[in-house]
Amino acid sequence: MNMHNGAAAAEPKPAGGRRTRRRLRLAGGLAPYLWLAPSLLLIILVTIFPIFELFSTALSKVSLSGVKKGYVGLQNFSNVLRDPVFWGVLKNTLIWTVGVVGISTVLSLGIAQLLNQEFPGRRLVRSALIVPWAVSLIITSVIWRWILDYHYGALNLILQKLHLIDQNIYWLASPATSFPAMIGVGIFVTIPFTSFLFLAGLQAIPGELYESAGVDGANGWSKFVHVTLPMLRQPLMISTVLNTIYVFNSFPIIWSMTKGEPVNQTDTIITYLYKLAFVAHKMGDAAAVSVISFLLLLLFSVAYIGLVMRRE
Amino acid sequence: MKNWRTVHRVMTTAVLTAMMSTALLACSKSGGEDQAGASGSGAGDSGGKKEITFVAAQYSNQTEPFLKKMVAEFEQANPDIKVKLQVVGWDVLEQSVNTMVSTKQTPDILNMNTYAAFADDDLLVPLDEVLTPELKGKFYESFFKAGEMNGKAYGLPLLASVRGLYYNKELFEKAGIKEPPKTWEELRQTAKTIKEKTGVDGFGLPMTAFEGQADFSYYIWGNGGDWKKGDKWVLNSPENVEGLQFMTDLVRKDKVTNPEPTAINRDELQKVFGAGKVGMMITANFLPTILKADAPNLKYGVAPIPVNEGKQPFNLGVQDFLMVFKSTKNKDAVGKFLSFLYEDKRYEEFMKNEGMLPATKPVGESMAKQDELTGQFISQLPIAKFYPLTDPRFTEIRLETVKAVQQALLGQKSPKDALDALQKVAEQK
Repeated sequence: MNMHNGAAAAEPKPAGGRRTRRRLRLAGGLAPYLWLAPSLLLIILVTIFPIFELFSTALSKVSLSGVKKGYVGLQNFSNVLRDPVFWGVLKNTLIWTVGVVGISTVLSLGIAQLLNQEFPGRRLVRSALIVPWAVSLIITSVIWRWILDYHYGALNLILQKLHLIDQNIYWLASPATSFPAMIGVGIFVTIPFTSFLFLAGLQAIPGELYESAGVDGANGWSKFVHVTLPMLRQPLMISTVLNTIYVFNSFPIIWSMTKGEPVNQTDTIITYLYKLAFVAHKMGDAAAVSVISFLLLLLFSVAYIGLVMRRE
Repeated sequence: MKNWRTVHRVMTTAVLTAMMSTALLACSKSGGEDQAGASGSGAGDSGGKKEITFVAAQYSNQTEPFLKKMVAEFEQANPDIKVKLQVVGWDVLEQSVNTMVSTKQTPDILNMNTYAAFADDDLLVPLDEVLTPELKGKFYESFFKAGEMNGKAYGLPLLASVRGLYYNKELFEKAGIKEPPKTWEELRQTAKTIKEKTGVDGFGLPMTAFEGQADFSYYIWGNGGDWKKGDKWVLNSPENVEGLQFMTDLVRKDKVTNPEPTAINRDELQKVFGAGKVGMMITANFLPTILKADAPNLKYGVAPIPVNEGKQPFNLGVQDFLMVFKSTKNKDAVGKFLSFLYEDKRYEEFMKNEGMLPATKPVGESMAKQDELTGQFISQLPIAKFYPLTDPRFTEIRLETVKAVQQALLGQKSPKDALDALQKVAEQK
C-alpha cells in the first residue's frame, strides 16, 4: 500500500523540464523506501537477526549449559545426518505434512463448494466452521487427547455403547493408531482456514463462466475441472504454501498428544528439535536440525511457487 | 475479483498485526532482560544497597507467596541488601535458564534440578566460598555429596523426594493378599493375584521420557546394578540386563501391568492409581499430598521398593539444588541469604508447604516426629541413591535410556540388545 502512495505522488505531475523530472523520479524512487523503512527495520530485527543467530549456532560447538565454544564447521550437521533417528523423523514429517495438507485441501474444496450454495442456515454453518480455527491449538489437542484416552476417553465409551468394540482401545499408545489420529486433528484444525480461502476464491468466479460452460454442454464435473479449478489456482497456491509451512512447523498437536513417543516413532522435525534443544541440551545439533528444516521449507516454497508461476 | 482483494487485504493486515505484536513482545522482553542485566553488573552497589537476584522454581501455588514473604523478612533484617526474586514454572525454567546463560545474564542464585553442566562450564562458585561451616554441617552427607563434582561442592541440596511402593488396600483385601511384596518374585505373584482375582491391572509401570529413568533405576539398583561405575558408564552390565528382563517379563510375559507402559507417564498413572484402577505403583513421597485432594477416599499403604532376592534395599533420591553463579558481585550477601533460607523453622515451613523432604538433619528429625508416614520416608534417606548427575551428559543419556527401555518393553529389541546399543551411545565422545 505504501508503494501506491509513492507512485501516486510522482505520477500526476505533468511532464516538465528534465531536471524536475529527474528529481521527481528520485523522490519517487526514495519515498517508498522511506515509507518501508520502519517495517524493514522490524523485519531485520525480528527475522534476519534470529536467522543469523540460528546459522551461527548451527556452526558452533555449544556446551550443555548453552555457552558457545567456537566454530566447528559442519560437525553438528554430520552428527544429525548420521543419526538414524533423524531420518525416521524426517519420514514422519513428510507423511504428516503431505497427509494433513493434502487431505485437508481436498476436503476443503468440497466444503467450500457446499458453503457457496444457497441453503437455509448457511450463515450459521459458515460461522460454526470457524470455531476449530479460533480455538487455541493446544486446547484442541488436549481435548482430543482426552477423547482418545484409554481409560476415560469419550471415543472408547461411544464405541462400547454401540457394541463396536468390547475392550477399550489404547489409541495413543501405538504409532499405528496415534499418528493417524494426530493427522486427523491436524486436518480438523486446517480445514477452516483452507475452506474460507477457497470460499472467497469461489465467490470471485463470475457466474457467466458457468452459464457459458453450461451452454457448451458441460456437466457438473467438467465445470468443476475446467472452470472452478483453474479459477482457484491462486487460492490453491497460497493455501498450499502457507499450510505446508504451518503444518510442517506445527508443534502443539504432537507435543500435547504423544510427545513423539514411543521411541521417536511419532516425532516430527519440530518436536525432535525441541527435545534436542531443551531436553537433551544439544543446542548445536538442534540448531542444525532447524537450519535443515528451514532450507527444506525454503526449497519447497521456491520450487512450488516457481512451478505455479511458470504455468501462468 | 473484488472479494479476492479483500481477502488479500485482510490477510496482509493480519500478518502485519502479528508481526507488530511479536516486535512489541521482543521489545518488552529485551527491556526486562536489561533490568536483570543491570542488577547482575553491580549497578545495585551504587545506591549503597547490595542487590542479589534469586531465580526460583515454582513447585506449587504456595511457592511464590512463601518466597516473597521470606524475601521481605530478609530485607527487613538486612536493610543493606535487596533481593530480586523471580519464580519460574518448571515447564519454562530450562528454556529461560538457557537464555540467561547464553546471553551472559546469569542470576546470583538459581534453583534447578541439575548443576553439572554449569559447573562444567566454570560458571559456578564453589559453595565453600559462600557457606558458613555451621550451615554446611546441617546437611545429610549423602545429599551434600550428590552436589559435589571433582571434590568441590557446587550444588546445594534444596529439597528431596524418595520413593515407595504404594498399594491399594481394598484390592489387596479382595485378592486375599496380606503383605505388600518385598522381593521381585513376590511382586510378580502379588500383581498376578490381583489381576486374576479382581481383574484390575496388578502393577503400574510408567515408561516415558517424563521420568522413565526412575523406573529403570528401581530395577537396576534393586539387582545390584548401576548407571556408572567410577568414571565409566556400565549400562549393559549383566545385573542391568537382568533387571530390564524382569520389567519386560512383567509387561510382555506375565501381562500383569498396565497395558501400554510407554504411553503413560508417572503423573498420569498416579491418577489411575487414585481411581483404584491399578493395584500397586512405585512413586514419590509427595503422592499422599496429591491423593488427599484428588482421591480422599482411597485406602492405600506404602512399603519399601521391592528388590531381587538377597539384594540390598535402596531408595531413589531425587533432589533439587541451589547454585551460585560466578557473575555474582555480592558473595557475602548470597551467603547471608542462604543461611537465612535454611534456618530450621523457616526451612521446615517451606518443606511442609511443598510436601517435600528436607535436606538438613535437624529439620528431618523434627518432621519425622510429627508425621508417621513422613518419618517412614525420612528413615529411608540414608540409603537413598542418586542419578549420576555429576556427569553433564546424564541429561542426554537419560533420554537414550528411556528409549532403550521402551524398545525392550515394546518387543522391538531384546533387553540385552537394547542395553548394548545404549552402552555404545554412552561410550561415544
